[in-house]
Amino acid sequence: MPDIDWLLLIGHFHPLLVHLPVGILMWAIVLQWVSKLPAFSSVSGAIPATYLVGALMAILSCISGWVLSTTATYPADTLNLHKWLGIAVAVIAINQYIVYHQQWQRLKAPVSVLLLCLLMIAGHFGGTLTHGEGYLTQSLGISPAAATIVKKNIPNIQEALVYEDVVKPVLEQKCYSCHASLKQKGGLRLDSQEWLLKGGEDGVVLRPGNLMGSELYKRIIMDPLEEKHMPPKGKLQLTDAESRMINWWISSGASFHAKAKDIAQTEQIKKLLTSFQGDVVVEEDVLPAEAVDPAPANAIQKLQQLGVAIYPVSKGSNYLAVNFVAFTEVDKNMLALLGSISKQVLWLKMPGIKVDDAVIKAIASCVHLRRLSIEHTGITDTQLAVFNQLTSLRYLNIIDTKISIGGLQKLDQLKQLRQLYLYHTMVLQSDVPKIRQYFPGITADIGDYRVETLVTDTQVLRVGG
Amino acid sequence: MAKNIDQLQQEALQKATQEVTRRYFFKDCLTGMGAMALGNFLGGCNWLGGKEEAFPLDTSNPFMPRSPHFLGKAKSVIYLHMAGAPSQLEMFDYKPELQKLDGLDCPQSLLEGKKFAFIRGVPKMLGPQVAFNQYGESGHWISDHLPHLASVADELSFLKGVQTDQFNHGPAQLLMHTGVPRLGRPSIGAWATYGLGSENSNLPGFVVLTSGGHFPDAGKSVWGSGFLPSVYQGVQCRSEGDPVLFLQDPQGMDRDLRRASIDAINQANQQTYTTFKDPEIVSRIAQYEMAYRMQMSVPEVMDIHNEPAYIHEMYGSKPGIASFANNVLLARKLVEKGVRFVQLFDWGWDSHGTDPNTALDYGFINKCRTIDKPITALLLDLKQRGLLEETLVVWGGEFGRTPMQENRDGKLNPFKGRDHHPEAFTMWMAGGGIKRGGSFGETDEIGYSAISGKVTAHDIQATILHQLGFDHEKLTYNFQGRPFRLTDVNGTVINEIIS
Repeated sequence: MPDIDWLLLIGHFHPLLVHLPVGILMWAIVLQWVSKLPAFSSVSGAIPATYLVGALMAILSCISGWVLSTTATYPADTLNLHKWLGIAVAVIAINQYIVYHQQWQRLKAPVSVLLLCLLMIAGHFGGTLTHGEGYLTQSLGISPAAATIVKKNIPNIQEALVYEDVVKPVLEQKCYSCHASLKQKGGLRLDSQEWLLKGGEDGVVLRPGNLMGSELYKRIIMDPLEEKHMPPKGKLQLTDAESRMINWWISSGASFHAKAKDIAQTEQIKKLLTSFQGDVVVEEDVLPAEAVDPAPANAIQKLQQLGVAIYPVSKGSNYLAVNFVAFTEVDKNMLALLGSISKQVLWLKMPGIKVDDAVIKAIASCVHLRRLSIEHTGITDTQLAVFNQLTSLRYLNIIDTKISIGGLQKLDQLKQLRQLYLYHTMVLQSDVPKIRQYFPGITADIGDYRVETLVTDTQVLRVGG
Repeated sequence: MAKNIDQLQQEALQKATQEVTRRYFFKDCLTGMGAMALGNFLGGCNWLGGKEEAFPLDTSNPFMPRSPHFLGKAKSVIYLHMAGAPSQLEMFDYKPELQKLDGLDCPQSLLEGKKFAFIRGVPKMLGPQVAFNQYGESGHWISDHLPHLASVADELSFLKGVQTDQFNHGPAQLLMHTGVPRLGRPSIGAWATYGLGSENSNLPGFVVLTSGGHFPDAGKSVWGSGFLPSVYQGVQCRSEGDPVLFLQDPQGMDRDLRRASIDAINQANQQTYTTFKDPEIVSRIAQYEMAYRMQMSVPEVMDIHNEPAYIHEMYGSKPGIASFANNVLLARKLVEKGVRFVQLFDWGWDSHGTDPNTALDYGFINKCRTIDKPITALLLDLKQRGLLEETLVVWGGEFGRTPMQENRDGKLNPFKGRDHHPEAFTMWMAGGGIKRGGSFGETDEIGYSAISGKVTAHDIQATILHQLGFDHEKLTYNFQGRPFRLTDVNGTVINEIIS
């Protein structure tokens, strides 16, 4: 006869037992309230006995629960709350029985409401303990755990760290709720290199290079109907791409520091990897790293009222995009308003604007400016030179102006300039090599593209020629 | 008697205390308080969690430019819809294997359980009716019907596994543009302007241009606003005559008089607003003002006479007539002026082969010739103006065409043509943060069905919104008690073609 771990057995009865007081006490409360209706007054005799049975079951649940808590690890905070709320349920249930026994009429209703609240809250925390934080809300698609995971922006997956940027986010999203600091089911934690390699109660889970010896992978690809399959039934499962990434990572030696490009890749893996590449725009390339104070709201409002398009470049950003496309002239008033938001202006469009020195000065005061469109204007080489102080400038559109190579030459401080549009300027195709010298890595577009006219373009085919 | 009155007074006093004392308050409200406490408690659990605040809408200025969810690469969209569904097999989806089967009976396996719009019985296979070549560094296959577009192959990203579940033009067009194959939903241009507003307060945010002599089969609903405020519907402009109907002042009415009458109307509206505070009235005032401004700015932007001759040569456009080329040139002008969404519909791509106009070797080639040069010019012109990187160009139809030759009612059609085919067709995108020279999706050896990279209308819509800076799941509008979105419950951004 094998040794029976009685404690564990009693403890494991807790999940079964708890449902009894919940059901019985709820039923008692229902009986109590229905008995007020004349048609159901006959049930009132059953109420005290129901409360008593419920209370006894609550006590049994408390005992088995306490035993269970000593045999497994649960997050202490939630466990404490659940424990005391559970005890409170038992106490209040007994109390209600006494209330009935003593015929304290005025206490019946309030105590029943209190009991109902306690039951629900204690039950909720019990559920949180077994199913994890956010189990209830995940069906609504807003699991707090998943919502807080911000998908990291990976501009180039080949340069990314395989563990840090690909494997870890998957574990974080799909495994951490039971196997990290909050909970360690099976004594297993997966939230760091040390824990991963250490394994759980049943031994090692990760054997670098040995895929089928790694329980971590085996459990994932196991038939989902098997009890040992992970993540367990009802929890968010790994996608095919995710499990294949884990496969690739483990079989290639489960390095914690290698970059994707350092590990051999099949065509298929290469393709899969790109799906992990950031689907978020590379913001640091477009948004300055430094924060900026919000622009004065009244200046923004006034410009809006005048019909200027002005808005934050993305939700929550203080940097602004400003577009004067609806205007041919920017008056003093607008320039003054522009001056008061100069630090926040990131993109500025002034196509076809009448350019004078005041306009140039106002533009030049926008120190963080990244994109400037000042095409179809009378801007001169000398005026353009003032923009040499806009050192953050990445995009400059001066098509259809009188700008020459001499004007561009003066912009020697614009080290960040990457795109330069020069269609219909005095700059010639033969100047492009020089421009590349001034601004390394630049795309300078002289334009003037033609689409030749073919005879067939205007021919209409008809039946019979 | 006196004692009775005393008693009554006493009783009244007691009754009154019941209304105000703490003891009675708790006694009476205990259940309610418990429920409130519980509600508060559950509220703390963030049940309905992360409440995305509704997109705030300023009804007095519905086109005020607004920020998207994140930095979008594209500021504007030009959507070129070839109404009638162009044959992918004679344009972009090269299938040499199909040539070998040309003229043979279609295998039963391709017909079993399938329903076609017109094909009945056993049709014959129809090989590609044109030669293909590879172009550019990307090596895109493009047919000889599109010699100009082939020269800019590297600008394009193809989607070759597009699928739909509609095989009739109207529903398929509605699905493509409104997300649902039935009437009543807002179109993608309406969603985009609702989300982003317009950069130019003098022009509508969403402009529609049609060519080919007919409206798309789904009618004006493909650019409608559905349940969104009606200001967001597409404004249909014409490339000949008055660009916008009923916008010009009638003869004998000068602009001052128009101004005066609008002022008077606005004043009356303002008074009504002060009385009733209905925001729709403010919206009405704003619309009068916008119409007044549009009277000046729309004819100006819609006039292509002032474009230089080499531009007309480039696009193949001719001022004064209605043509696809003119519309494409206008699309560039509108985008340049800050219009958010320009939607072109070109009718006449329904190549069944029932008459010369719908024959793959006559009418279809003529259609290809009318779009080839203008679209190529558009891409190059946007590029040289520094606009291609912030303008997303989308090209496509509502479904594809069969690899079989159509045999309407079981009899071979008089000309070479193909039937409607929802299982595989090709679309492309360019500019606006789309990968240059990309390609996603494949069809089987004869182009019958998509075998990888399958995408749907919802995926394309999600991708367009993504390029504009929107999470398509969060761009919603509350209507009839629930938030609605363009992609309904579907849609995945096609990351494979995003740069």
